[in-house]
Amino acid sequence: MKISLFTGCVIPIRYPGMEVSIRELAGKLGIELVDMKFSCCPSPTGLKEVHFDSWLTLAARNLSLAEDQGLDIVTTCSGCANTLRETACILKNNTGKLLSVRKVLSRYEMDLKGTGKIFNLPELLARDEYLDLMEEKLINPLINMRIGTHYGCHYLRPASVMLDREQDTYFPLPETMELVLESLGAEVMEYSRQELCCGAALSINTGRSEEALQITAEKLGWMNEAEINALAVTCPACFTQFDTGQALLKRKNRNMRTIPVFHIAELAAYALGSDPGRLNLNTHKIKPHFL
Amino acid sequence: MSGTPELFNRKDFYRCLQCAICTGSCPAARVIEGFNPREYILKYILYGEQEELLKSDMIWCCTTCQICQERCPHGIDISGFLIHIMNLAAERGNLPEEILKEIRLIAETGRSIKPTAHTVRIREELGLKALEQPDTEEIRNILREAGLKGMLDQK
Repeated sequence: MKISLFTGCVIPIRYPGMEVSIRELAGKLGIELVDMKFSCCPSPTGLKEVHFDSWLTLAARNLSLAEDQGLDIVTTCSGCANTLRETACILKNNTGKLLSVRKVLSRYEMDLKGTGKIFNLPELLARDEYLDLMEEKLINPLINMRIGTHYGCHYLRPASVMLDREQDTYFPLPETMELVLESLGAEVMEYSRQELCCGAALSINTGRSEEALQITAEKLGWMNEAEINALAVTCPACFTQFDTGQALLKRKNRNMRTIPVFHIAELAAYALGSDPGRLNLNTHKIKPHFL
Repeated sequence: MSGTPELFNRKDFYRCLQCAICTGSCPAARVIEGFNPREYILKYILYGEQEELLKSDMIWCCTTCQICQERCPHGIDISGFLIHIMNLAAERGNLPEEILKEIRLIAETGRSIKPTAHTVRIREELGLKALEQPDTEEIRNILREAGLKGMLDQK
């Protein structure tokens, strides 16, 4: 499979080790990643809130770059996935918006037909072919891990756009990360309020970091109640909120139980034999001592 | 394109029962006093008290998690409504410095975060390619032509 990689802004700049994980993992699974000169997605918690049409048009430019090469897109951040999928969906269903966007893009010799698809990394990994391949190539099974998942709000909502199905209040979560983690040998745990927000956007957008940490602390409380000992995420903003967030919370409460946090690509690359040093796992604030 | 498009269907909101499942489910409302999606619907759509709301800095506490609309018993697009009022507020100059900085950085560099010397070094050490440089002039022009003019100019 050949697909264009949309890392977003946070991973290549703040967490280059995650980028190594993504590339090593793709190599092991025979996925050819193509790099393109994408801009910021832009964020559903940033430009979208400020100027909707600019958000839509810049996102459409990113879609156009991949479409021009005849490639689908794989994202490694829930925010990027949300922006790109929602943009594709809006432009498919709203002719007026599509015309306005194409008019702007045409000045730069770009066009958008809407033929490309956008996948979030766990969606690809949860395909039967890759689950089988991961089981086959498993070198470091994730034993002793009672792992919980946090998809990030923008991976899930709205369900019609992000999960290609009707929303279901009782079963709001997809099972993509669960399938991947099970094939890597981990014990997957459920916890209460699993589909709720990590709090990151409140801190990033308004600087109210104390209040954002209260949201994070509540989620951590439910995770601790379920006695999970590791957390898998698909989004670098959620990663920061849980990893750095726990380090900050621990300053106030030294006896606090902490849970190491991982991007799903880090866990998969490690389990398939990548060296933890190369994945830069020691830069996590909450040290993953058991790897 | 210019101005703020209607990002929600006003008529849907006439079905709002003020049951407050939105606010009860909202993570920001739990920790920020004064952030209250139910009350915003009441004021903005049902009472027509729009100007007051558009001046409030509280509206920016929305994390866009969309749990409000997922749980709304009438399936009202509350998140679209909140994005709409934030767009209108921004047009009037009411937006947090944090977001304004981020947007100007995108216009300047194509990215929402600035790489540091440390980033460059670590990427090298890990054997990653240097960061691709997006076409910033094109990105700036596209943002302007899509309507984001004033915000990029004022300094």
